[in-house]
Amino acid sequence: MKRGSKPILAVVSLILLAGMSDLQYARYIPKDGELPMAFEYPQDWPLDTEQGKIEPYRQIRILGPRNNENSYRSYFIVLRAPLQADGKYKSVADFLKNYKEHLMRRSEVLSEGKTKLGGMEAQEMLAQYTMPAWHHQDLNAPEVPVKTRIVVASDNNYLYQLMYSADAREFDAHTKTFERLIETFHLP
Amino acid sequence: MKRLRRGGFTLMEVLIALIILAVVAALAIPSYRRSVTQAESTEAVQQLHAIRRAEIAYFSGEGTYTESLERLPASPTLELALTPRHFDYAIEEASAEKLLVMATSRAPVPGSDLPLKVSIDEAGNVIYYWPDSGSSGATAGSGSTGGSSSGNGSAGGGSSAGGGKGGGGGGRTRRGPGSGGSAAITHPPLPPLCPGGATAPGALTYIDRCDDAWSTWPDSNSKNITGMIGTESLSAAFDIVAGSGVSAVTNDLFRKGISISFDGNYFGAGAPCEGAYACFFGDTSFFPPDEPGTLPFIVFDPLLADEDPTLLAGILAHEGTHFQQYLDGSLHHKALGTLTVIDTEFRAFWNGAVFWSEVRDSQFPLMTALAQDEEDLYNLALQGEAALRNEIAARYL
Repeated sequence: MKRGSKPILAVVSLILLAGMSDLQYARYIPKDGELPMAFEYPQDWPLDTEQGKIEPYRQIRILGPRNNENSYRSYFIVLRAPLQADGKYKSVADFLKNYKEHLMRRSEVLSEGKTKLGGMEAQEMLAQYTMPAWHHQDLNAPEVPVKTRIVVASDNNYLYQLMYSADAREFDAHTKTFERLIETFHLP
Repeated sequence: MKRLRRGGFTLMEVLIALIILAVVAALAIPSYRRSVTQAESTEAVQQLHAIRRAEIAYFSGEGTYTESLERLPASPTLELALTPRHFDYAIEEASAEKLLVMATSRAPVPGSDLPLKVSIDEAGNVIYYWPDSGSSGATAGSGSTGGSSSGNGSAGGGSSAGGGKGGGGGGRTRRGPGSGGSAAITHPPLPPLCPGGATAPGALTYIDRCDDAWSTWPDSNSKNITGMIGTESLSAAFDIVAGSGVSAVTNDLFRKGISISFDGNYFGAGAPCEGAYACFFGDTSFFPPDEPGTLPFIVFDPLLADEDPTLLAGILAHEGTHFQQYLDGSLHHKALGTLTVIDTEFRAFWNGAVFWSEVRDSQFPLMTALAQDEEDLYNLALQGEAALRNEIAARYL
């Protein structure tokens, strides 16, 4: 084969495959009264907004697909909560400390580190735990190994939390999608 | 003399490369399209539920479902549902008793010339019609009968509905919208949405119910532990809750004389509470303020009869919260779609965690799966309201 043609063929194949597997993305742009932040998310994934009933937060939950055994749905969340006197947490560190202290069975913090979120200094954490079986009527709910990736930042008034949670066995399926959400996240 | 080799491809190399690309394309494109269709069907299900909720609202005023989407009460959710992207929506059947809404995909299912169809009926049952497999995937919706089932004090089930798993006993004297069956009649308006009492941020404290909506349901004032087995354990569990920070739950159970029992008829393969530790049944086809024609009740799986009453108490705290939701209309709102399973199960889980926080020190080391489940869900509650709601969504939706 001609020199240089093998890489070209490989690149063409990769482009072809990559193009076939791309999700279509929508841009979340807040309207008046909605969470003041913007990001991109898969347009076919349902998006719900929620305000805390007993804790002061607002979040957007973006639901991904259910896992292969139909026992757990992956999701992203984009959450904003007040810090300090009006809120549950005093800082990003306070939030992460509480989270780590209350992981469920067979838990492990896989990695931690610094990163950026929307131009703010942020902390990132990857953890794994086991969600127990839920013994419910009409619910397929065996034990599920869950992996969670959290990116948390603050601007001294609010804590901003992005989270991706999924069946640990299928976690890699939407890692790139979550990274796109992180990269496109910004405060207007 | 050396032969010079010119640059370029042989015919065989070109043919092999083309064959490889063609095979890759043939494999990748159909599976991509199938996965797109499955993602789109999720959208169809959500849109169908939005239309059903609007039909229920229409029914409450008119006493019948409507064939016309234009007559449905406007709302942002319905507007989204009626702005089709991948599916077209039509009401195939609408009467005083029946509703059938059909979503038809605009593109055919890969490998077929036929579209994907998804339907929803008045009870919230969703059926997928894949061209290559006939109807499939009937799922029980959040019907208006039966109530919430629960597990280990923290695993609340959704309301039972179609699919033969409905609860709520027999002897209904009237039905509300979405329950199917005999002629529907109008019912009084529901009490306002009740989010439950507020607590201090970050505190794990009991979430109270709103006012009792059943003004003509006379009090019984009896601790009603029934059944053939385990009555001492359940009675002890009741007393433990009554002495705890969630005693308001057992106060209500006592006030209305709600039956609590171990009953194997509801558990096991094919039974209404299959897979659950316990179930609460409250027939939401009866509307307050009149006394319900069939009284709510709580049943436990007899397999738990030898469990520590403290662990049974955790389950009772959860199920009793569902009874409180029956009292303040929250379960009715859930059946009609103005509250979600996340709302109702969150409150029950939270109160179960509040109870567990008071007793957990006496339970270590945790010797049973049930005890470990209680501890895990307590930790989830301590991660916060959002964390608990999100995990409920991941399980239920």
